[in-house]
Amino acid sequence: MKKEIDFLKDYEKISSPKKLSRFLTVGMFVVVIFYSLLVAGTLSFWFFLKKEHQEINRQIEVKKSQISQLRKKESLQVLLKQRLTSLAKLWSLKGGNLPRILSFFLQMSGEGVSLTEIKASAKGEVGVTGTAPNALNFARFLEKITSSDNANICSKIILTSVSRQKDGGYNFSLSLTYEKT
Amino acid sequence: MRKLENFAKYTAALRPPIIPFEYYKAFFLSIFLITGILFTSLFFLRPKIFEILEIQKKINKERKMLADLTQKAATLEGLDEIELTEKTEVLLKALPPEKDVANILLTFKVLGSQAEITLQGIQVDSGDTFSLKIEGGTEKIIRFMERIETSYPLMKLEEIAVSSREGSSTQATAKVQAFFLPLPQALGSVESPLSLVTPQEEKIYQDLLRFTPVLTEEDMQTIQSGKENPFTF
Repeated sequence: MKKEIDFLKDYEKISSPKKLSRFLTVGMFVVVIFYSLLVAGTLSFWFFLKKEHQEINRQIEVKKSQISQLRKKESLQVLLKQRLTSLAKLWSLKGGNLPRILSFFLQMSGEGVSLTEIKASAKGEVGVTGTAPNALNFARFLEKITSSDNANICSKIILTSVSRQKDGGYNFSLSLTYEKT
Repeated sequence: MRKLENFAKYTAALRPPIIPFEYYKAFFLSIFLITGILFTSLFFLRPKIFEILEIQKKINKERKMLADLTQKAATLEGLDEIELTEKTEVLLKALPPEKDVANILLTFKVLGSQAEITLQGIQVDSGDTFSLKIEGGTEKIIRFMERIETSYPLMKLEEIAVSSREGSSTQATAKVQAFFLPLPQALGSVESPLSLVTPQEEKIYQDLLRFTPVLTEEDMQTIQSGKENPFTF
């Protein structure tokens, strides 16, 4: 028996006016249902979001009024923070500690060496002028300044000038750089 | 005649079948519905979808704002007002809100008398830098300078020069910088975040507590001028 494949069978199924009409009616019904669901879903989601938006806004207003009631605390905190931030910057600039440098050189003098002038700046520069009765005392003074115990105070010491006097004493001047603390 | 009949049959076979109107109804209805769907999609659904996206963006932003505000409110609730007041009072003494030359001069005078040195001269170089000429014992001058750097209002020694001659008292000159900081002009909006004190800043405050005020409350009286500031308590 000879078998044939009829490709037109399905086409004929819907191409007949009655069947086409039914196909369109059913198809449109499905499309309308689907579209209606889509519109309903979109509207519901929009409505839900609107509600949520309103609720969040309400909560924000509540928090704002709560913060407004704590305005005094906030202003104190802002003032405190402003001052402390500036102080932190000042602290980083500080550290010259010039009285400490003066004390240090006063301790170093003695044993015959007298310092006639000490100049120090917050930048870390120190100039010292003094007199020593003899070379031995002057050498001891220099040794004390440059000793390892004082290495953390003076980072750089330059003997700027030394002059011997008629009486055997020495006038000297030093230029130093001190370590800021 | 037979031929004519055949021709009529032939043309009848070629003629398209007559379709009843009810079958067209479905076709027209489909076109009507599709047009309706397209129109409502374009003029109703599409704007709504854009609106939804916009609201979602707003909600995300507002949720973040709400979280920040909640945190800020909780932080503010947790702050101790008395402690804050005490701290700000100390800081306002240390770092005055305005240049107050008279108070600083008075501070030098009081410190000088406490250290038992003679203040031979004070020169105001600018509103915040002062040149001092001092005479006295070396140890006392050092004590005076130490007190300058550890007293309220905060001051810093920029330069010092000490000279001494045998048989005479020590003379010194010092350049001192005094610090002041104007009060913040505004608090900022409610939404602006609250900056908290860091441990490093807390340490600075503890260091500052070691400093001592020189002048009493009566000495600190200053002339009030200008606009009312929200930070005056």
